[in-house]
Amino acid sequence: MKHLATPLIAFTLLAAGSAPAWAAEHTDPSAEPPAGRLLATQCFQCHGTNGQSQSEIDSIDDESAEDLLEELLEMKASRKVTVMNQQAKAYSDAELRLIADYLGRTGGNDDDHDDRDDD
Amino acid sequence: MNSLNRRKFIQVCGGGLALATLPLTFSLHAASGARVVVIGGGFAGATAAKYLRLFGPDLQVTLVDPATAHVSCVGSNLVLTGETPIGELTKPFAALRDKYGVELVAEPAVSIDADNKRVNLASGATLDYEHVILAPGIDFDPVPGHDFNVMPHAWIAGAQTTLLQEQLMAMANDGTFVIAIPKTPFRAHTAPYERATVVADYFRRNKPGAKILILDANAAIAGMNRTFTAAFTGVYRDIVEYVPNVTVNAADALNRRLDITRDGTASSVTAEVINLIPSQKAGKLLFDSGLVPDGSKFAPVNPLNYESTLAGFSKVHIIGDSQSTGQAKSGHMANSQAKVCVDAILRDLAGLEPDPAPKTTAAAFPPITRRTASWTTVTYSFDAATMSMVASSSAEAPEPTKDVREEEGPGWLINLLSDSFA
Repeated sequence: MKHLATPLIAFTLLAAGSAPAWAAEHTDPSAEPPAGRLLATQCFQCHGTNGQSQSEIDSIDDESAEDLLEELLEMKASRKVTVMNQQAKAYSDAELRLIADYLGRTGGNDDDHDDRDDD
Repeated sequence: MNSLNRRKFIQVCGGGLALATLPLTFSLHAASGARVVVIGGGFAGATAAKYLRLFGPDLQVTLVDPATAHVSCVGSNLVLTGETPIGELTKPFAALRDKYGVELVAEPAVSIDADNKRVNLASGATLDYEHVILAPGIDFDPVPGHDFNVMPHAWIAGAQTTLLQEQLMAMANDGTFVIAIPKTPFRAHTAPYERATVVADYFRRNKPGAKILILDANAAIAGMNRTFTAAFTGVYRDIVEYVPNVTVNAADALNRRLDITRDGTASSVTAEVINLIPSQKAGKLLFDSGLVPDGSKFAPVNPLNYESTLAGFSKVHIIGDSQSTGQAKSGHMANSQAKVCVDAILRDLAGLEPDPAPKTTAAAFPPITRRTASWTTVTYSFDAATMSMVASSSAEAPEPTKDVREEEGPGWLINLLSDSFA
């Protein structure tokens, strides 16, 4: 996402200091919501808004899309009965990829926009 | 109005100085886009207001609720036993205003004028909208004689919760606590049984000899049947008696008595503390606005965008416990539906159709003892053939564990509250 940032958005982020990634994402009201975002928001009840946990539950904003997808597919295949293993089974592989791509794209590097938005 | 004050503030202060003090990018420009009004600041409404501003920073979002904070039902059974202070479950709406730029209107909404796309407020003032989201939560159909101040429902958290807590604390060591459960659907199908387990644990440690009698209008335990059957017939077999198929016909506050019918036979039950949970229906606003058909208790909606399916209610959305899609009624689910609704509204404002394949989820992590808790989860997927959300994957913990009591459960509650209200 950083590479897609327009100069205007980059300026906006700099001006605000520590704006999170989502703030720049839907400033165009006529734009289609990013693929995977709606599905990914369903992770946030347990893992925190934008995947940033406020509790002992794991954050999910700090991994690459490929790592996330690999974990989700392992959970989907697992026979062990856990909350996440069960959740993962409700999604197609394509849906899990959309979620992983969205979280991997928006997360992880959010703490230091100012250093990264100028590319 | 807060938005006017904020705009004026920005004008007066000029650009840079004011900008540097505002935390989020969307504060940089006064919202000039469509106005979305959200009525009701529970899990459904608060989540919707927050996510509308997160994902639609140009939108003007107004949250209408006469309260200044929401008290979460989720987690409130542990208030009854003194384990959780109710303040931990009390979430001020100011956070939605200060962090996300949601305008707050602290008065009741009395009806929706869908023809003119206008909300009528109790003061006589009105709010115009492009879309309106109604999230009034539940209302009750109490039996004759039910005085909530004597037999608290404690099914909307707050003063009712602390009243029931006080009654339980004051109860005699050999007293009986009755929990009367209405027919489904009601808010939080696991919660009445969770209430029994947490109070039974409290009795075991603090009031040896005290008993719990569960009078269930349903034919069987309505949520997490295996978990709670195991608890009531196992660890709590000396404390809890579970009786299915009991209809409460009337309540007598003076004598603390319930008139009941069990398997066709009338009788009565008296107890020192009675938690009478009434039959439930959509919030009054929905009935007053014509959004609940005659003979129904909840409002029909399209689960792709939560818009009313009744004629004449275009752009009127209903989320949370008041709608009738048949999904679980819970704070977690209300949050989940809010996100689907918000996404659909953003798409509509952009001239797009709703996402054709939304998912929603619910979960609960009920404490079973002081040291253990269980869990359940369900995911719903849209079924195009029936135009409904169908439970496509669900499970219940194999057994209660320490980790869920100490980590997953509390961690879930913190994040659920934060994702909804902060």
